[in-house]
Amino acid sequence: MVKGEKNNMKLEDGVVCLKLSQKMDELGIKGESNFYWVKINDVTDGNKEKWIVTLDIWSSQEIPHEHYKAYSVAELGEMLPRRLDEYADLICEKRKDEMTVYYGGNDGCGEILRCLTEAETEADARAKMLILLKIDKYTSDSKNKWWCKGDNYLDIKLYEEDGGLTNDKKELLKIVMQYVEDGGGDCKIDEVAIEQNIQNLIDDIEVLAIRIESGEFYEEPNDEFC
Amino acid sequence: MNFENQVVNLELSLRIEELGFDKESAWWWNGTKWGIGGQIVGLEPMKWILSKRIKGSAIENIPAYTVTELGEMLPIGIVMTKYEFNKGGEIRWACAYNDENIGNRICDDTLANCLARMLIWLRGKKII
Repeated sequence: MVKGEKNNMKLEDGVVCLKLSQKMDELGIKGESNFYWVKINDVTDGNKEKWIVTLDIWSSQEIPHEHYKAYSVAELGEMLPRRLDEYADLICEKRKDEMTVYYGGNDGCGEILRCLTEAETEADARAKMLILLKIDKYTSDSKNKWWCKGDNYLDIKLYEEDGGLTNDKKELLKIVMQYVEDGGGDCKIDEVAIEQNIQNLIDDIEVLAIRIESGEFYEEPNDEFC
Repeated sequence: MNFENQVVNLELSLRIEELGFDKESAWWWNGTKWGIGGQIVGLEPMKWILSKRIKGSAIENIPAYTVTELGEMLPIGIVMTKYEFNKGGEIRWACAYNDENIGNRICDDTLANCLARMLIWLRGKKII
């Protein structure tokens, strides 16, 4: 075995997962990519439908199958803004079990964390950040509402967009989202340990809303820092 | 984005190989001194092509690591950021290891080369 050949890495491991690629496409996020997720019928496996990652070999003609751009880490790095404002720079960090992407920094009074996404792979963490910035446009006017927005916030927003909520849940969701935007942030939602998956999060919105309304988590994050 | 900018450049890839890293790679720098039709190019410099691994007795293969692959080779605590070089609008990448002051750490034009330099630096410090 030669150097570098051990456990040859699959293309899939270095690009955004299919689900997030589809979501990026649906939201109209556009960038250059050298790779595609392409749906094929695998003739070696009973003609089963499969999604594979391929190089952009059809650049001059129509791709003959359903496909989505499969952005790599480097490509996503080009697409993400360098900073949201003068205090919040793009930071990517390798942690123990996941990759973290966030916009943060120090405004002279303390640490600022505008938003944060995490995933097992760096590509997915970056893709989630791009999606978050797409569905919730950051502007200087909305700056104060950007405090620790994260994966839970993103999951709820996407679930809401997909029409997965009943009307009563929507009302409860408003309370939760208001709380997040008022500065409670994603960290507080994490504290009630409901971030494991979207269904739990939606199921627990009622409990969370009651606890938020009771003032259990209320705090003024800005007072704490400036 | 050029595909070549998504992997470590040849110069740094050669350094990484010299340092004995033995890690999976999807892409390779394939070098040869043989021309088309099997003619030897002689004392000409090696010709290098970035692609999947091309096998052959006269071909030298050097792993061309991607950002994802480098991320797996680097230790926990690596932090990366983008910055504007010299306020001239040129965007570069910086990375650091267990250090919040990332502006003063290893920098390069591409993220892959930046991480490659970090890998080499950490090996030099015997951290990995």
